[in-house]
Amino acid sequence: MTLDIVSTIFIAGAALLSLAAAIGSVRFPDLLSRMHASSKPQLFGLVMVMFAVALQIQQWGPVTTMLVIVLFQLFTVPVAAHMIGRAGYRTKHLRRSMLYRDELDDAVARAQARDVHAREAAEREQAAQAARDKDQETADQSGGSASGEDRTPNDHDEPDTGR
Amino acid sequence: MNGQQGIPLVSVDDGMGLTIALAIGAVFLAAVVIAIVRIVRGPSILDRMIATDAFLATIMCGLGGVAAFSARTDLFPVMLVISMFGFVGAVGVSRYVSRADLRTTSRFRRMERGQGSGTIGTADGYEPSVPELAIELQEARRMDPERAARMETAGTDLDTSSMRVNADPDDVSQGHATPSEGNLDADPAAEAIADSDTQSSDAEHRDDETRGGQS
Repeated sequence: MTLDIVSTIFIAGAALLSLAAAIGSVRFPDLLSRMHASSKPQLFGLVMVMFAVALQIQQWGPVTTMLVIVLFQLFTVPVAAHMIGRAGYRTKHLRRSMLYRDELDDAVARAQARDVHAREAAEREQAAQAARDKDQETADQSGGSASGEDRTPNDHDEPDTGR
Repeated sequence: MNGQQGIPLVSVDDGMGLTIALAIGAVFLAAVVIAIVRIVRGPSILDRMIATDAFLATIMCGLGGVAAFSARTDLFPVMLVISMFGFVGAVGVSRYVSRADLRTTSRFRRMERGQGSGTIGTADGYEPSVPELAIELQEARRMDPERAARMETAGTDLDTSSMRVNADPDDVSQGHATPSEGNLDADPAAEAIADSDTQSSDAEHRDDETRGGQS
């Protein structure tokens, strides 16, 4: 009798968590807060239901099956939440005025600054290389044919214009 | 055969137990209906995916409750399959979501009113973050005037910070520094050639042209 009452309380708790998740996903204004609300019954509610089932069916077979389900959720729920949050950030599905601070913004700015620095360095090196080639060519054939002079800088300019 | 493995917690002749079980089932049903409301309304596909996750989790909890109340064990494989489907769906949708899926519901409403074609994924359907901010500002004006004023003063800042996330890297390089002029000045070899050799003035001109096209 006591076990019945305890398992009923567990199942009722899972039901209330599910209801809270649904209400939160309707009432909350933002993607991230909706994610926060709706991820509650996915693990905690399932664990409560598993306890209720284990109290009710006291055999090892169903309990291990239930344990497999809970472990699967335990591994996949963070991955799915991470993917959804990442996609939401990249496609700007979030309200920036609702964030207290955006820690990813600093990282994005830093990465972009690093990219810019790398590109500048590559451009500088490329220009120096082009100048060196041109210098060598003029040293090799001073006053050579104009067509050869024309074609060589073109070859070196091609990667620049392509970008 | 329904995999009965023990004494069921609730039977039909048990009045109070049946009442409690029905009450819990009603709570699960309400949760499912409210999650479906968010699936239908949700402005973007990611909201729908989150609500679908909540929906599937509620279904799983409900199936576990049925299994506990009636002591049957043939519902556990169903729960496993449901959880797998939820994971695969969430990962697939978030993998292939694009900016064209932003606020599809409002686009359909505009299409109902006859403004806009409602096509998804075209340049017509693309909505930059400025209208997003305008909608938010409108909401804030209706709810909280002080916050609206704060947002208006910080509006451009918000907008640029949100624009920077998906901006083209080449655009960012323009905004940050002036690599072209600095490069030409800092390159003494090129200047020396340009001064000495009359033939390479043509090449220098072309160089300027490409750099101008780039910047």
